[in-house]
Amino acid sequence: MGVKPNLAIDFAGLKLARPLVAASGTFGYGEDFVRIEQFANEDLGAAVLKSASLEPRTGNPTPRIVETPQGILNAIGLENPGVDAIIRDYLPRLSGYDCLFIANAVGSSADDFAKVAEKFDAAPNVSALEVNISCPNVARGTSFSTDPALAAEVIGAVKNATELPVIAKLSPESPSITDSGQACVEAGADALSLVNTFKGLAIDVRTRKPMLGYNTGGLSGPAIRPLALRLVSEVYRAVAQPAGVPILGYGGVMTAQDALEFLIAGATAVGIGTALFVDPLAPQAIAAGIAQYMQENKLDDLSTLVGTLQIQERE
Amino acid sequence: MEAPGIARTARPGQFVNIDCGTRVVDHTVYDTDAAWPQIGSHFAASERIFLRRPFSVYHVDGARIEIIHRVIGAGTAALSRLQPGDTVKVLGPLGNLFSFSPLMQRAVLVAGGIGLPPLLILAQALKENGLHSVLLYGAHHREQVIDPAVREFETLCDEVVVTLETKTKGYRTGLITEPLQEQLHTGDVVYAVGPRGMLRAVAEVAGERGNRCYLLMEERMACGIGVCLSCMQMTTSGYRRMCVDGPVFDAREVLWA
Repeated sequence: MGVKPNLAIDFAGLKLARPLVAASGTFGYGEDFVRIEQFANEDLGAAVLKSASLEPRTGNPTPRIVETPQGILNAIGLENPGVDAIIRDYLPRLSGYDCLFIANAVGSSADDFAKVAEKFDAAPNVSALEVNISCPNVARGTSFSTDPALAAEVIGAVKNATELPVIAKLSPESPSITDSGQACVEAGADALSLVNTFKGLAIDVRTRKPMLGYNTGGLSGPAIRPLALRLVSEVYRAVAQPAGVPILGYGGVMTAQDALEFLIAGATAVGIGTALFVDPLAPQAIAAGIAQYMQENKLDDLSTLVGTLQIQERE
Repeated sequence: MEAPGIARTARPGQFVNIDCGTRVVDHTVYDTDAAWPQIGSHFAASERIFLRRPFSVYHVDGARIEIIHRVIGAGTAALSRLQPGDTVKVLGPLGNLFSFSPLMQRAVLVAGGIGLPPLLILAQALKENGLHSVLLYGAHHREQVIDPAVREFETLCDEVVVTLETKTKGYRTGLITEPLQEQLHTGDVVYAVGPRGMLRAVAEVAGERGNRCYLLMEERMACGIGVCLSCMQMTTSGYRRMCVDGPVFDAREVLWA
């Protein structure tokens, strides 16, 4: 075999050592997984930290999670200690990892989002900001993403508040995810991430009550993978490729095969979320599988794979 | 399970998250442990259990750990089909510990149903430290009583009291709080594991009598390492995570919904 394949990729100016990014809400504030033997933060190119709001949030009543076929339905409700506590208690500890950290902002108005962004702008160890305009588990959580005008207002306000690269996280529930994505790009988003979870429901037939304390939840895991992949492919061709803006693709990635599908569909980096709950060592295995694919296909630059989906002509 | 690293480091109160393997889909039953619809569904004949399931450590023997589980839902059903020699993925040890002080008078261990196993390594640790303990074990009916475990406790505790909710010859009938009221003395520390209703009742008795009380609690869990914020318990200091801040909580801190 020749030289070890280089998995590095440029994502909106970020130099990712690997195209793998831990999804927000599955990785805490950056140091929880390092307690696991054999896990290293460097298994990932970057990690998106759990959402931060201006004020602390308590989150939703329990149960907050339930397993569904090949996936999980969660309704955590953006529980977090607030942006000030996150910057004070967690971010200073994150120097010394060869893995980038991306903050994740939530808010209930454009002004709210901008205030959180402004705080992260001055914070240590943050390389970019993902703007969560698509949480299905709080009132009006997805409405920012589903309404292109609102999405643009939030992204515009955030762009004015920070010089960090801004990643707009889109909801799959949008009437037109390409319109929402386009609005975010026009408002200055440096990258798009998609998809957040799909809103779902699970019922306890014994009690005839929803399984979750919040009634509905957001579905993630392999169950949503083909749905997410189709949306990534569409947004890539309609918005991201023409605008030259990269996509961070999320949707039930468990294996290297899944990650490769997202790259081919048009994602420059691939999120890993639910898989981390099933196997914390998944990122290592996925990276190894991608490296093997690169060798077998004689790829020395992973970016040449991005968006290479061969769309078939239809009559 | 052969798990040397976990066997070496697991302490009383801790648990492991186990990848239970593959479930066989029976199209005729419904399943309240998980959300998947079963009646009239069209799944393949088998399907991988997705999330790991948490189980308390029951016994440690050299490089081996043991758990005892009841078949409650799809995860535990899949686990029960594993054969000796099968490989499972196990993450652990997870969670905080039952704490005890060499100065305490006596430990009163209270178990309900399948809550018995996690108390064994605590009883062992207490005995190793020269501390006295009693076990009060409540079950719904005779078949729920885990006899081999009871025999283990009889070698470790000064006394073992078993009560059944269903009237049964040779057993005391009633709730576990009745023997608890009788047994509890000043300075005793209570350690309880079992269903939520039982834990709450035990906490109330201990609170009224002024005894310290530690509860091992349960909630639906995903990651096991504190990141997903699924397994939350409301406490006097807000929501706490069962998997890292618990599963053991001081009863005085627990707020009951």
